[in-house]
Amino acid sequence: MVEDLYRLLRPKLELPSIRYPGRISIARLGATSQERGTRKRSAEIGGDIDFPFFTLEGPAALRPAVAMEVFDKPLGIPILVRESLGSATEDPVEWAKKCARECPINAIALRLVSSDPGLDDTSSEECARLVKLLLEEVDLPLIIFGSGNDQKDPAVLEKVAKAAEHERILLSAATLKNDYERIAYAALRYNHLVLSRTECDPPSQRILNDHLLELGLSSNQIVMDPTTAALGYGVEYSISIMEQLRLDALKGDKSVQMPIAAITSYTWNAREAWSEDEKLGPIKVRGPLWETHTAISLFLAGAGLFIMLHPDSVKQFTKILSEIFPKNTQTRQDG
Amino acid sequence: MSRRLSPLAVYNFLPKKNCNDCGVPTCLAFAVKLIEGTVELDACPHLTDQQKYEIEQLVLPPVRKVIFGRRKTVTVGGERVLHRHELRLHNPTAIALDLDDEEQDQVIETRLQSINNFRIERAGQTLGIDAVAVLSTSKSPDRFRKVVKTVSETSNLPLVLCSLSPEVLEAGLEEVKDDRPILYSATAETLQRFIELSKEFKCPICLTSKDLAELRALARKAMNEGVIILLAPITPATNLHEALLKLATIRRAAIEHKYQELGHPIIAFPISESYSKEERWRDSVVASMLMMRYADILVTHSLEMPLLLPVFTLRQAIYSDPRYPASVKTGLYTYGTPNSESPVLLTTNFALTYYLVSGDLSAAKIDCFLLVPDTQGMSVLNAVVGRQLTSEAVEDLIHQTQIEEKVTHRKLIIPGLAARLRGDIEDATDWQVIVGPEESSEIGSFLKKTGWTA
Repeated sequence: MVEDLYRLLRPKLELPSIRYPGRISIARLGATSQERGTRKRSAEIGGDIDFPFFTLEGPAALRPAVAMEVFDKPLGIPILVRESLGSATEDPVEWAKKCARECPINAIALRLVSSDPGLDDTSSEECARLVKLLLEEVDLPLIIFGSGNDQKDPAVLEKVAKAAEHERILLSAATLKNDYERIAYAALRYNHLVLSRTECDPPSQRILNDHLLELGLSSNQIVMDPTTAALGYGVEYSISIMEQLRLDALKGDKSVQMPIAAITSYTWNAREAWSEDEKLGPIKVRGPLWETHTAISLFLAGAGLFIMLHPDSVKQFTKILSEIFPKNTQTRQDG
Repeated sequence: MSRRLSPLAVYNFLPKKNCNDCGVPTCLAFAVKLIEGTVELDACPHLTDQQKYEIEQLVLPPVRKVIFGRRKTVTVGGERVLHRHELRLHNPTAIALDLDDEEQDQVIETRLQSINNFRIERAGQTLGIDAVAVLSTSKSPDRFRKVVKTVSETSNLPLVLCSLSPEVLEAGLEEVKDDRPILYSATAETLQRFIELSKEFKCPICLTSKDLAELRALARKAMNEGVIILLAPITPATNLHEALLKLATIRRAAIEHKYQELGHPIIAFPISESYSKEERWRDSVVASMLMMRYADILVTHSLEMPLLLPVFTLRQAIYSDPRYPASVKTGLYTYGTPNSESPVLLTTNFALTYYLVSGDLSAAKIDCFLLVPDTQGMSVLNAVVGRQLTSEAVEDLIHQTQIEEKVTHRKLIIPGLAARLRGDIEDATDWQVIVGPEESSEIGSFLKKTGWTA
């Protein structure tokens, strides 16, 4: 009886195909010598035509890129991260080299913590010198974060952009509160990309992206950061905002058709990631796993660039990615 | 791309009397709630069977609901959307722990105790394991019967009875006749026997096939027989890529393409085949991924807190209702070990605000008190503008929490974004108000900079 029915139905389940009109643009971080840069290889993100695993062609258009964060000053580094990396965390270049050597990553994200006027107020020139040094010492694409200070960041990022001309670094970040024009012009002039950051609010994300597009940046030069909240501390907002942005983009909204970044290093603010509370289980297992869970949930929500902190989280996340993307390269599977 | 059902389509079949007998003021509002799945059709006492039938056809969730267990019951499925922001996800993924019938009796009893006692306290909720999946590894009906008996005597949790053999399952079922366990799992060869068991013992069955077209055919057959089913499209041996692809395909087929045969809850086993200690984190991550991609029941193995905690936390997150601002309990929270000289801070009960502040206070290792007034889930700026955060609210909270007995000083640090309330609060209370930073991450440095002294 069942066999009869089975024969009556088609032997292969064929679903009506869903082809959205929109497609996520592809952003390429890092320029090789072909583009007058010095990176060994670029990292491409985006290109999606649907959510991960929603098309039969493959999990996603491109394997997500993973970057690791290094701080220019060893300040506020989670204890577990410091324990894992040892003395390397005291020097940003050593830290970056160690990550590049020991972890399967696609980029380095430098956080210019010390440039904050409330801290060392490190000058833009000094920041640019460090970026230059980092470019000489590691051959991965770079993501450069200011300190998050709205007044100082644009000036810092401008100097950095100039020092790293043609390297296609990701300048982080343009916000509605800072002089995003200055950052966008620096990206245009010196051939870089811009991280467009908003706080858990898709309409603001649309507005900021539109501003950046109007200033002349192409969709391929923008990566969105709609805010990463940690698991247990609002990750559902990040998941839903990313899914909403992705759905709008697929339906044809060009203002949000850029790849999305998830900055899972913020996970380390979550109590569960650092608390010594034994009731929650051994911290050495719990901490890195907390960041990994944040990462995989945002990957499924559509994020394509992951900026992470703990080497074990990176290893776990990339191990899972290798299982899902059988080809270990960032090869595109066109839909 | 799923087309949302219009409330008017449902309204047409309702009495249109606005009698409020169902507890909803108007029939149109009742229709909206039916579509959301927040009221039951039976709440309306004025419907004919024909009307009920018509409405059910309209509002039945594309993923059917399955209830299992007796002393404790668990509801899974009943989902209407693919993404939580489109409405909400309704019934949280049930987390079941496996129990191998080949283990020694002593081991089984110890494990059952651990399963019963497992608790997670999080965000005001106490969470535990939802179900026990008894695996017939021994393949012996007698052994299975004995272990199922032990489980039903030791635990109130709903059961998933796991064997490919109907004989083994029947042996177990006889021990839990009225307990509505789930039977896992029927194949094309055994479906007929499973249907008979399902009818005899009134329990849901899982259907297994590697091939989605065959799975669909099996489901059609079982549905025609009126049997309640779940889908088991993957096994622990299925590679992760294929597993996620299949789950997403099934759920999308059910919700967007209205394939009724695939509109049933999905059961999945995030258990590594080769279980090594170094790789144990993987089951935890895979469990979360399968949950995000629509597994309604997860059968997993490890009871270790650091492996389960993130899965439970993610479940709590994605099944929260996105239509209402999440809020936390009003009251007084403490950080570290505050004393009578410690700072007192104020925030709002919007969950995201609270968690950020809470995380920052903990991260900065500040010993302090935090006052959380009821701002109806509004963030600081919105609560100030919308007048949910007022000097009266603060005054009330100071009395309710008896904070004046806990500290000797009278200094309240308020969020920078609530600066304009400073004067009002000082007038309404005898507290001195200090305007803190706008960003909670700066509280630590703020206290240091201003040299907090009571």
